[in-house]
Amino acid sequence: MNDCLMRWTTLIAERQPTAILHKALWYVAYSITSMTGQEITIAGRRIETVPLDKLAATANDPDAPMIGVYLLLGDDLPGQAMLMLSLADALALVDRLLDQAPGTTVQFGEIERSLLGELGNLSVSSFLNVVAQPEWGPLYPSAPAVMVDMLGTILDAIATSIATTRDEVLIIDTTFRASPTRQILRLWVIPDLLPDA
Amino acid sequence: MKTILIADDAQFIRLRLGKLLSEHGYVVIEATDGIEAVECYRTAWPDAVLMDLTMPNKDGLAALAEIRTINPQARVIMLTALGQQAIIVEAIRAGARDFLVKPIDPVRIMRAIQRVLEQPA
Repeated sequence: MNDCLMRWTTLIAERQPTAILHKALWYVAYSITSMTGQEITIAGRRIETVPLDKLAATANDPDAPMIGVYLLLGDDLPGQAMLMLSLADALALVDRLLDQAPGTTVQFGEIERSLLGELGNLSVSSFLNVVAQPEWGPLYPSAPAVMVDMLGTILDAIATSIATTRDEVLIIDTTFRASPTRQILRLWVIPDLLPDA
Repeated sequence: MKTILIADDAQFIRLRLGKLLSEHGYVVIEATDGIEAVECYRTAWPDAVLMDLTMPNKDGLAALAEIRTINPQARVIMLTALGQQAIIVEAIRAGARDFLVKPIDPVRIMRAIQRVLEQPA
């Protein structure tokens, strides 16, 4: 088993999240709460293997307009991450963080994309801050890429990047909510290797 | 009035920090990457720097090292979402006066700025 695979098995054992993975996802929720001033908690999490051609179907409504913030996790823990939120929730979040009245933001310009990119960067960096082990090198994620499109198209970006090497993908799928009933964010962490454990 | 250089590639962060610092009476200058940060430091000689770690063209650690060749006593505070132990140790060894982990906490940032401004430069 190579080093990278070993690292992923500290997070996933027998297809189940380990304590450190739980802690990392909790810290993501805490960081988003701190950034947005809105209490964000984990609504659910699951680990599943999905055939690439079923990826869009996994996400319920492929035609829904969404924001996706995509990052690579870094060389020492190879993988990808995608933070997803609905267009309406993204617009509301922008208004909140720019201290604007609700409904002010109606489209995504440079500052709005920067804000959402920072949300993705913060989420993934928070995740890496917890999972990084002292004996590993520092984990630097890539710069965030913000996509505004239909969910199916956004997920195709992931599928395309993986399709040359394998035909299925393991997803650490976490949903976050802002109230007991309302899910507003979804984070997919996708290892580049499939742990057999 | 004291001048603070904000070096961050994220426009949203520059906007938020700029507003915060302006409200506290500081003059703010901005850089969007490490190269600009070094040039701004050389020309404006700010009283302190808030420096992101991951930036295009030249990252925050490289910019910090170069700024310290211009002024070995430069007051540079690293401000990044990456709070891993190895990164913090590397930044402090490279001469950062403080290391703050995002998200932005206005109280912690203002305390850190005030603390480094009390130190010699």
